[in-house]
Amino acid sequence: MDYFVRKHINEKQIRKKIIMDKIVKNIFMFITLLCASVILLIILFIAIKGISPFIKDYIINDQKYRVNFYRFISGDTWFVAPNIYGIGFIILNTLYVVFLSLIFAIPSSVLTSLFITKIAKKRLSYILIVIIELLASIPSIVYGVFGIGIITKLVKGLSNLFNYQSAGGISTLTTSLVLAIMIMPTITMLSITSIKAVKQDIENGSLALGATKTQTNFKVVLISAKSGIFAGIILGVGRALGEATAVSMVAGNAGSGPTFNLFATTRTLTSTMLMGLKETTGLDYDIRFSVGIILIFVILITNVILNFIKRKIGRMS
Amino acid sequence: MKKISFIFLLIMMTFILTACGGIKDTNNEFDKSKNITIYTRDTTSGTRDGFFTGINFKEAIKDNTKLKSTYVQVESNGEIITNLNNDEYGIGYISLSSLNNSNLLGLPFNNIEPTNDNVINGTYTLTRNFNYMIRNDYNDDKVRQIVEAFVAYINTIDGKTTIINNDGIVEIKSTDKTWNDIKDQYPIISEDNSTITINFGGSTSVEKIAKALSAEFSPKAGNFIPDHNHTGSGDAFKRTQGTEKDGANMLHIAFASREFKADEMINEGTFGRICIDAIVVVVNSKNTSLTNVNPEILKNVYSGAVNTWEEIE
Repeated sequence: MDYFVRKHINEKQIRKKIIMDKIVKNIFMFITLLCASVILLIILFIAIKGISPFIKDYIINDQKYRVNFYRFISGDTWFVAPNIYGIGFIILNTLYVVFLSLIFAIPSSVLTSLFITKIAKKRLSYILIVIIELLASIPSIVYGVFGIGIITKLVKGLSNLFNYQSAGGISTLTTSLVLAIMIMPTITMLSITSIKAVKQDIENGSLALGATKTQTNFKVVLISAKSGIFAGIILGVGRALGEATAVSMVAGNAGSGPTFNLFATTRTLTSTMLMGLKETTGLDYDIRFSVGIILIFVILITNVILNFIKRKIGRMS
Repeated sequence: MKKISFIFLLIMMTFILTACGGIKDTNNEFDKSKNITIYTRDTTSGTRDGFFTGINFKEAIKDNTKLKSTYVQVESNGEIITNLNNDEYGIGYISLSSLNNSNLLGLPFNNIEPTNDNVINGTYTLTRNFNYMIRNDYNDDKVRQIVEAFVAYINTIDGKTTIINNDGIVEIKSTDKTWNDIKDQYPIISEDNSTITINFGGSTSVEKIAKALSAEFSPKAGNFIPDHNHTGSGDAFKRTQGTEKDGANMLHIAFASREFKADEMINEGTFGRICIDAIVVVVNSKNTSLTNVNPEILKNVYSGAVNTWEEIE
């Protein structure tokens, strides 16, 4: 019997273990704080740089200038020398482009995920998932090159059909198509996960009631998975709003607006930040950080709104 | 539901098919009644600066509102080339060195063909000079000697070959010497200079050439450390001889992609020309409307005074 009883508990050892626990806990705490402070530092840096155009004087050609914030936020022309910047139309253009890209991306990605999870044979669905994961990891510059080489040609052909002369296919439509292709994998992957999570019982119940497979897929499976699908859409919107490289290659960077014509050139917040960033200094450099702040706000606000809608949709059944 | 997805598929198919059909349509003849699409670099670009200075439309260098409002703005020579190959009715400008293999039509400027020879003999005038400026005073005499050796190197056959290989235009004269011929005049280069840092900076347009030169010259001059910090032509004078010459951003050798202003050229012998950069006006190869451009035409086109290709003629 002796064998099963602990002979004695070493108090020293226990204390050692408790101290060890504390040290590990503190180390973890420290690392977490470090990660969190990086975000704080970034926000602080962007905020300081981005606010300075409105409160600090910049010397351009021996005269002091600062930027009028109201004009900046509501302007319909990006830049009039030396100090008038306006991004009101750019915000509208950005939201419009992202909205269009969602119209293209949502149906095709939801249908794709439905096909992969419910209709395709196991082997095929495995291959398709690998392909979509690959798509998700392709760098944006590749999408940009694809857009400028292929999609511009398609859009140019389309605009010729409508007898509209576009700038070689560089347009709002091209931009939103490129974005749609980019966010499709994101939405598809999350939709697949959420459709897979739908309980088999619900589906069986629907089938037992006499519904066909297609009816079940659309009316039961998709409805049950809508919350997860919506989470995918939110992620997609985030990616679309934040994409810079590919967009600036096909947007054409119009100087004024807003433009809602599908075949006209457009300009987004990110492409505005990227254009000429490497070659400029002073006010023209700092103002790009102001655009960055606005972009962060736009993303935050859209996320809040989308989350609100998501909760509403989640409650409906 | 089936109906809806069928209709959706149908729409997709018609979209793709019609778009393909549309591509074929564009192979038609050049239609002069179409609008001109202007392509431009962004306001920070040195090429843009050179172009608008060259056509006497200086208001537009930093100001997009002076341009026709439907302009397309891109970020590099390469993007202008891709876009113009897509767009029969576009017009743009690129560095002469990018013209080869671009499939675009490089237009003569004032009836002079854009070629390297014409740039060197000065008849082709849509050009800008790349200049350098060095310091007037040095804390360390060794640094001064290396800088002077570097400036001498720029004018040797070796240096000029490097410049040409990096898209600068410069003439190699029969009187030019090689580096081996003159290196004995610069005893500093035979010492070990691996602790000395030489700061290069100024114009970003010259950055490629400057980096190639310093990378090539460093092993020949005691392995000094070249440190490049290119921020713009405006800083060339400021950081070598002007207000920031003793600041943290001070430079030993700076470059400018424009001519130095009168109040910048205060110390004789501290500045000079490295090479010429030529800008060429390009259109799609199907364009039959323009065979020659001059400042007046280009200004009208870029300001939107003329809208269609017919109007130019």
